[in-house]
Amino acid sequence: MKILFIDATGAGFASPIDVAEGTTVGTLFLERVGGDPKAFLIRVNRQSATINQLLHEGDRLSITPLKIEGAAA
Amino acid sequence: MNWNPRLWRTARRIEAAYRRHRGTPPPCDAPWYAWQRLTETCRLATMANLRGWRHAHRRQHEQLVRDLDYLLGELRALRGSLERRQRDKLPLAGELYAELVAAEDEFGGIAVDDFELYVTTEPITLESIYLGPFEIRLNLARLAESDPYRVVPLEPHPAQSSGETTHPHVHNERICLGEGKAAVTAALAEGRLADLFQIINRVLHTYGEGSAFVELDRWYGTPCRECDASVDDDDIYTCRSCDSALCGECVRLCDCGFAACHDCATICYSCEETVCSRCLATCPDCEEEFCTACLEEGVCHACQEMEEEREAAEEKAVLEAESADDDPTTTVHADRLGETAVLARPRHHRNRRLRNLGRQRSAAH
Repeated sequence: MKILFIDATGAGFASPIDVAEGTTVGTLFLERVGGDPKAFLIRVNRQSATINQLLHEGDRLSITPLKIEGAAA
Repeated sequence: MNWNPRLWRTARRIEAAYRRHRGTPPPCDAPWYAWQRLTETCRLATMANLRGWRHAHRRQHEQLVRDLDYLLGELRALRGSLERRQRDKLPLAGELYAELVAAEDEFGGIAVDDFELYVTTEPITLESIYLGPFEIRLNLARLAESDPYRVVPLEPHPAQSSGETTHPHVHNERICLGEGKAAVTAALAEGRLADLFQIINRVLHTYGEGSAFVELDRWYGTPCRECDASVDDDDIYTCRSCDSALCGECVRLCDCGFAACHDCATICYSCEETVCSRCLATCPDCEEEFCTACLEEGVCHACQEMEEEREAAEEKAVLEAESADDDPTTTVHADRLGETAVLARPRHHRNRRLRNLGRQRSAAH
């Protein structure tokens, strides 16, 4: 199935990706981002999500780090 | 989700704003500033390494990693921007409406005035320094520009040294997003407004030590290294040797303007004034260090006086020897056979008068 994946740790563009049926938010997070999920704001269809939440066809998953370092330039 | 006509009207307005700017892609700016920052840090790291400044080298190495990450973020943003141009898609009012609803949920409200859409953050405290809440404002008339957003403090607690710096990464209402730049650029391009506000919000909640307009440990001024007093940046002195910050009371200044801390300052052995390494010389006789004003022909006054006393004594000895030569009752000694007084530490300029006397005596004979 296809979902829209938005990873704000990288370039941040929304990309349609294929995931297997039964994939959870946590599985995809570990596969695509990794690290401690508590350090990220994870949303499915613009709503806060848990790592055990199942993904469905057409879902929109966005992952935003809670800590993003700014600069001075 | 209850229907919100106000947000729908706002979404339509934003859609129109995006449509107006369609066909005017943002300028393709290569991140030269990020590259220049990286090369400058490289240069400093190399210099620190060559000079054996281990602490400075370690700090520059850490900065190098941050600068590399920053450059990579900028390059990703550029690449993303180029990709977006190829697959540019106008965000539709329905999507924008959903974004506005999400932003309203996350921030407890979203508003629009004449030309700006904005949300308000919760009060922000970083490293125990209260900075207050901020408004993140997106200018709908500048959507085609690279940074059409500004960050306005609602309870400004600016840095003591810069009234325009209201957050370590906000200066004059402009936020430098650093690692978040690529994601914000992408979110703006795709009309993901909730993401845009949230990423800027996360940047505001994060302190990037070493890459701030004003570092938080200097928020209330810079501490003097010697007395720990807080000093405004305008009044601060920097030790030219170790770069430590000093207040006007603790700094040691050479006449040439060179500033030094207590550890790095050199004191003239004679006048006890602070002297920098460029204005310092070593007396070859006593091997103490003096300022140039306390040296005469490269020798300190004390050694000069000792020299003059020795010369006078030698001159006197020569004259006595001459008198003895002229006296027929005196035993005659062969000249230049080592039977005259010999200097303990012969010095060519010290012996000049002695040699001249010797020559005059030879000529007379």
